[in-house]
Amino acid sequence: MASIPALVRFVREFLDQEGLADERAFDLDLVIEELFTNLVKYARGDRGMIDVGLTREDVNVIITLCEAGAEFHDPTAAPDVDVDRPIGERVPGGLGIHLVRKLSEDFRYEWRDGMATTTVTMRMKD
Amino acid sequence: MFEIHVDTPGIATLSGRLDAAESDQALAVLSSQPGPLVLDCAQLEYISSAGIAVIMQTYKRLLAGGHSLRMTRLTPRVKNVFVYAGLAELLGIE
Repeated sequence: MASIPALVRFVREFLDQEGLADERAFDLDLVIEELFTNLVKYARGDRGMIDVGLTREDVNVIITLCEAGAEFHDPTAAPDVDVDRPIGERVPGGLGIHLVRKLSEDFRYEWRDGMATTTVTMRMKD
Repeated sequence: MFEIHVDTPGIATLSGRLDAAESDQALAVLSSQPGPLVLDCAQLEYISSAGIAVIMQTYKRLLAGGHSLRMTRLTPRVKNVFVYAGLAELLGIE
């Protein structure tokens, strides 16, 4: 979790470089943090570095998280949180991925030869 | 940067970014509060599911003791996260 402040700085530098408003930072920070903490919590294996990438494609920003040596763990397959259920009946966990789904246009996972890649597309303009 | 203060009994003031790196600090303070408790979020700039988990853990503990937890003065973006999580009504967020 010590990496989170570095991720926040990375997002600010990207927004600045792309001329995108700072107000977009909240949602980008949230999606990146939730994906990152999910990987750290659930993916097992010979843990290495997680590479986080941001790319601008027209009105979208593409977020990629790549980790070599990770075991298969597909966050897109996680059951969604039923936010309409009373709190006492909810199963703990899963809220982070629920927020990623809420804030993204597209959410994909690919695992090939131990390289796990999560790709999320977020729309930056209304 | 995240800070949490309880200057007035029953009112915790949160400021900065409550993310996964800061959630332990928030829990350490909140777990010592007897309740009822109001969280003043006027200066809270950011929250993730790790921060929400700490607030929900505190909510459930207080509820079990017959106390309430309420959140006030949230910024629109922080409020949105609670709305997406389906927790806004439960925590008295207007």
